[in-house]
Amino acid sequence: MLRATLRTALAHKGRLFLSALAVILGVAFVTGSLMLTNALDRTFVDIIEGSAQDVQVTKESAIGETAGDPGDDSDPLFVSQETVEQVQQVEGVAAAAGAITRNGVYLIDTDGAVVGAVGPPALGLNWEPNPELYVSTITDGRAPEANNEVVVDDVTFPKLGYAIGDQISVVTPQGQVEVELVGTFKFGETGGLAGATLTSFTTERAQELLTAPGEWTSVDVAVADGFTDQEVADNISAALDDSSLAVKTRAEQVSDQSDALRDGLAFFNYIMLGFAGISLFVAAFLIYNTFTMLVAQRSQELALLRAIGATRVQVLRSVLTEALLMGLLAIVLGVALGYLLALGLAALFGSFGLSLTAGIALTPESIIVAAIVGLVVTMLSAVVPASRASRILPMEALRAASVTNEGYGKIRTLVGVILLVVAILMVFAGLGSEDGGSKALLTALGALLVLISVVVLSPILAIALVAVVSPLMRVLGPATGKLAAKNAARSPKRLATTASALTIGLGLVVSVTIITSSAKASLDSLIDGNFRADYIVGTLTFQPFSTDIADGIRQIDGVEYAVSETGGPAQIQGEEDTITAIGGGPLDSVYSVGNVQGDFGVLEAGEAIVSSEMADDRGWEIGSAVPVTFPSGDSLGLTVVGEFEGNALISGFIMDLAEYREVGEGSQDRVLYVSLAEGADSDAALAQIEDVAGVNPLLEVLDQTALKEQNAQQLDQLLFFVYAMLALSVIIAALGVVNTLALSVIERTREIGLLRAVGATRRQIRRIVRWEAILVSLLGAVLGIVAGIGSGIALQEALADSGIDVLDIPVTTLIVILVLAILIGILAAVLPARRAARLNILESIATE
Amino acid sequence: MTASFESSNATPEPPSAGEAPASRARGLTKIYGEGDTKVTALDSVDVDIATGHFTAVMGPSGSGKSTLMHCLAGLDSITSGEVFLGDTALAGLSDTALTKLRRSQVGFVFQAFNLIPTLTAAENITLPQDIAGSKVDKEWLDSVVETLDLAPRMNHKPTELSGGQQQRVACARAMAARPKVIFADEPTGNLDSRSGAELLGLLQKSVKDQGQTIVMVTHDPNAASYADRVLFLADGKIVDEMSEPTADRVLQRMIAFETGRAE
Repeated sequence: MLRATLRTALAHKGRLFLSALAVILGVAFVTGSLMLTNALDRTFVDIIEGSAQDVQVTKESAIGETAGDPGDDSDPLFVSQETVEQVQQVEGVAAAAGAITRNGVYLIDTDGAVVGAVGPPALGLNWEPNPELYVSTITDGRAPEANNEVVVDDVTFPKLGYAIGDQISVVTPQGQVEVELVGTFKFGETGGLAGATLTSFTTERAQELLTAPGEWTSVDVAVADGFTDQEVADNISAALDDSSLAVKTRAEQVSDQSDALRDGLAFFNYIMLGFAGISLFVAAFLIYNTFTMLVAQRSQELALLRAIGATRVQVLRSVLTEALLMGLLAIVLGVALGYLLALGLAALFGSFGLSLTAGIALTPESIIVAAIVGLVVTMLSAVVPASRASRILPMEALRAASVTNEGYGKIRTLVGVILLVVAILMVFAGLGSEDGGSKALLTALGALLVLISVVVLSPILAIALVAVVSPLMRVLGPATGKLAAKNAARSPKRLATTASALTIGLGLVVSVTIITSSAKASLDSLIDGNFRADYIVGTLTFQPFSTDIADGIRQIDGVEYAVSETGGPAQIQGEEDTITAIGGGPLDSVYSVGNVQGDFGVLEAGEAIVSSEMADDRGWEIGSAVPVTFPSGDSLGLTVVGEFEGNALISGFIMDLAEYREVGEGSQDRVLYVSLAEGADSDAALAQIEDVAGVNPLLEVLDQTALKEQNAQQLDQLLFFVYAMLALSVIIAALGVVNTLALSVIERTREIGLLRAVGATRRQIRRIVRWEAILVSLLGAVLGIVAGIGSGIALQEALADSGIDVLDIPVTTLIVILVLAILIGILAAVLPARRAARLNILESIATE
Repeated sequence: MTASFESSNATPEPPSAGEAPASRARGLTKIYGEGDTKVTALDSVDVDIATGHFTAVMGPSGSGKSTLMHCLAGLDSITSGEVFLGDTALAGLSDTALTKLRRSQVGFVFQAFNLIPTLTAAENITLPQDIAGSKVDKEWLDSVVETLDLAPRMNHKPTELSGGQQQRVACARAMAARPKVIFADEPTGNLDSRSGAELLGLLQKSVKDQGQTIVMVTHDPNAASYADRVLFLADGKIVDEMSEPTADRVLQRMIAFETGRAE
């Protein structure tokens, strides 16, 4: 029996491979993502371990936020010189020194561009002279000795384009400085910091630029011989007796930072697993289809096996063994492909500046997960066809094979209708829901269920589509069109299953397209309606920048206001939230909001303006006193003086910027809104604004049109990514079409021979196959687009409160998608059509 | 050739002995394989198929009778010699040209599985014209359907028809385009004797009444007896022929071959 199974599997190897391809891609994405995240993880853990101190003391945020982490843009919290001196006295401390690490120090290369502008952190450090506390070693040149000297890490150095001894420009929170590059250094034990750019100043200069005289971001401690890290940490905690200072051992530093890092990497993992999920989902359809057809085609052979004494279980086992073989092949090839994929992505990361020093490794974990996933998908998809095969009666061996018209499945249709009704009810229940979170979730689940119910209903819809399209097909090709239509109608289930993969892929593409284009339209209308400023000045990544820029712009002739905005974490009446601080001009000079109650102009110290949503939520009204605690531990009591309807540009809790800075927060600006005086020469003003902002190469000056374009670009980038993901499902779907057509050609060999004998030309045979392919892709596309439009509209409704309040259905894009889908069908038909056309007439007619 | 066919929608002419042959072959040789596996299926065959006649080709298995039919019909390539359909030499025609010639000038009836299962009887009958995109001669079609006694079955699918009925639909399809010649390969092979006799009677009738030219390959002497003329094939050669055959005479002749070969 096993030999018979192997023979059959080998005989169908082409077809099995085609189905296996989808599983291979799925497995490849699973393994690839696991191996890549594993490499990322190991790379970062290596770095963290290499740069950790025996014991480190940092200031903790009073409100639970861990401010001061590398990559955090809000102001770091500082440790005073006094603390450093206290720590130095503690028993078991061999050496202790203040250290400075702060994000937002950018190097400018020889072309005037920022090195690693968007992406990895750009850190500024102080050069620590005590060898016991070194995490870095000079690799070339020498350490900085004077305040106008710096060293950079040796991974960044080649990207800079300068030589040692050159004058270079560095953008710091205090503005741009000109310094001399005196050497390069190796950070930690592994070298770079996975693409981060590191600039090290003398301690005095670092305090001037990054903290303040006598202030540090941490106290680094080397433990004396004979003491453990934990003992010394305990001693320090006892000596300092200050709950706002965190004392962490090496092990704690590593585990804290790795946890934070893994959270960051999780997002990436989800994306890769999303790819894997889609390809495996589509693969399941493909495998189901292939085995159904293989079983149908071999029903006589299987019946013969039954007739000569094979049991049902043996037949079942035979088909499942074939699936198992396919699954195993897919896993082996998938893991190999996944490895290559991970290598490729690692190289891509490297080109973006994130070098994975730990390297990609075939981890047992990734192989085991991939094997389980691949096998489960393959076997589950093959179970139904296999059990159908086992129910073939021995009598069928003796019966002449006849192609009967199968129905659309009454039970299936009933289930589909029920699912559709449930799905629609879910969507409406979701839209009617009060709670924002459950609204979006319920609607999204409902929309997904709509897609699934359409797939379940697709056989009867296939019959309907053929009925609608076939008159047109007959006009375009009287004989070929009719034959293709009748063939398609012969097995609507097969047509439908083949189309399902396309339906799912295109359904997702279309709903995402609608959401994105609605988001774009909503943003445009938001900018049109709520953005009163003439120019916005900021960085693409909302990196904060020096307040010098705002001061400079305020000096320009014709500039009426330059309103600065910044913000950060704060505890507002006991709840952790985000606070926005605005100053430099009246709010209504740059923002346009609805339903203003009370004040929406110039904020004074002690005042706050709140969006009505937040006010309603927290039970505040005009005149309410609200206590606010900042990360430093300082507190203020603010009085609500105005309410407004929040939008995506401005919402939440707004306080006066000057007062925010008085409590030591928000030393830099996050964004600047500039409004011009009436009658000002806008071209001249813009030129000067650009001049001032040009000091920081990260800054961009955008007017309303440019802002819209930039938003559109960012959304398009997101969309491009989603398209790449979904293109995969469409490619697999196309493989499914190829597979189904190839099988259908084999099944109908005799018919094709007969058609050729009675006068069909090769071209006509090709046309028939092509017509069938077009029908499949048309079905998939129409169902996918209709379901996608429905889901897209429902999702937009659900997200209306979250800012996507304008519905925009991009008709042109949808038409392009439809045309592309049909083209995919035609392309998928190329090989099967050629095969059909090349069949030898006499041999075909003689085929049993 | 196609054009001349499409424009000739005249009423059927009675069979005339003096007319040019519908199909002919000169020195037709067909060799399969090479070297040790070389098989000469047809060995320099000369044959004329008379227009308006019912010709049967007989011979034991492996005599080359099916190959002869396939070569005459342009379904199979030939190794050497010449084959003509009417005045057209088949050698050297492209696949498309051959296909077009076939659909306008040649009709086929196979032993089994002759019909497209998704199409009704009527659609199957007009399939070649549909494929060619040519007009169906309604009057002629009606007379063919009438002759083959298919009128009440026209809207049935093949699965709803008996074997005999299916084969009659296949015959009607072969005749519908008014081809120069119809090739039938063991048309009664899958039928019971009554249905077979009925079908052969109808073929005979269409030759007499409508002037069809039919070439039928068979190994059944009874079937051959319906023909005007029988060609006997053995080892790739035409070894004899017989006019106005009866089943007994054909059987005698076949037996004579067998014993002759045995000697």
